[in-house]
Amino acid sequence: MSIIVNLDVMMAKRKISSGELAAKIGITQANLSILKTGKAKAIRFSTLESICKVLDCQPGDILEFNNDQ
Amino acid sequence: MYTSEKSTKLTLFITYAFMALLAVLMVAAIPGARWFFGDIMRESTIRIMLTAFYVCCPAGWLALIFIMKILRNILAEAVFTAKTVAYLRYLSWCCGFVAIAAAVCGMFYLPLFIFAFGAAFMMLILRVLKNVIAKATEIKNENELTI
Repeated sequence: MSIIVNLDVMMAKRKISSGELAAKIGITQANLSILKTGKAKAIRFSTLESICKVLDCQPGDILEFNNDQ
Repeated sequence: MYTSEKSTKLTLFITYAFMALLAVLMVAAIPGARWFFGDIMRESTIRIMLTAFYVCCPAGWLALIFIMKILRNILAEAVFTAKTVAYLRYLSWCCGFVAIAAAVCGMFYLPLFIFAFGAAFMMLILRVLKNVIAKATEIKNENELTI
């Protein structure tokens, strides 16, 4: 898929673990893993909003469009 | 009280009953047909009917096994899966085989064309159902991967 999820990069920048982020945004670690590994087919606006709130970033910091893939 | 699970179990029980009935018919078809139709039909017609029945029997067994597997999947709450779609596809093939066999035998005994038409129509319904379940499986997978 040409949408790349850079969630792990933002998590490293904010020094937050998967377990902590999953708990704060209210999803399971398994679902967060699906999101991080790019296996997710879609992301809800509510989830994106929660991630942006917790990581204090913009959606563009997490999602990237790459035309080559 | 009626529940979805009880209904599925009842359908499973009916499937087992059909399996038993088919087993009995396979053993008793030859003497039974001669006893029942002996006075009203010619021996050659009875032979054609028995040939059609025995040719269709393996497809009937396979169809009952696939129905049983689909029902077990429903009980295991794994309805919208690739396996269910595959079982429905195989079921439609079984109906297609019966339709062809009955049509061939229908050339020698015309009323068998009614069975051929029925089986072909059932195949069509099963194929539509298979396409619906395949689409539902696709939607379910997408929904499960929406975070």
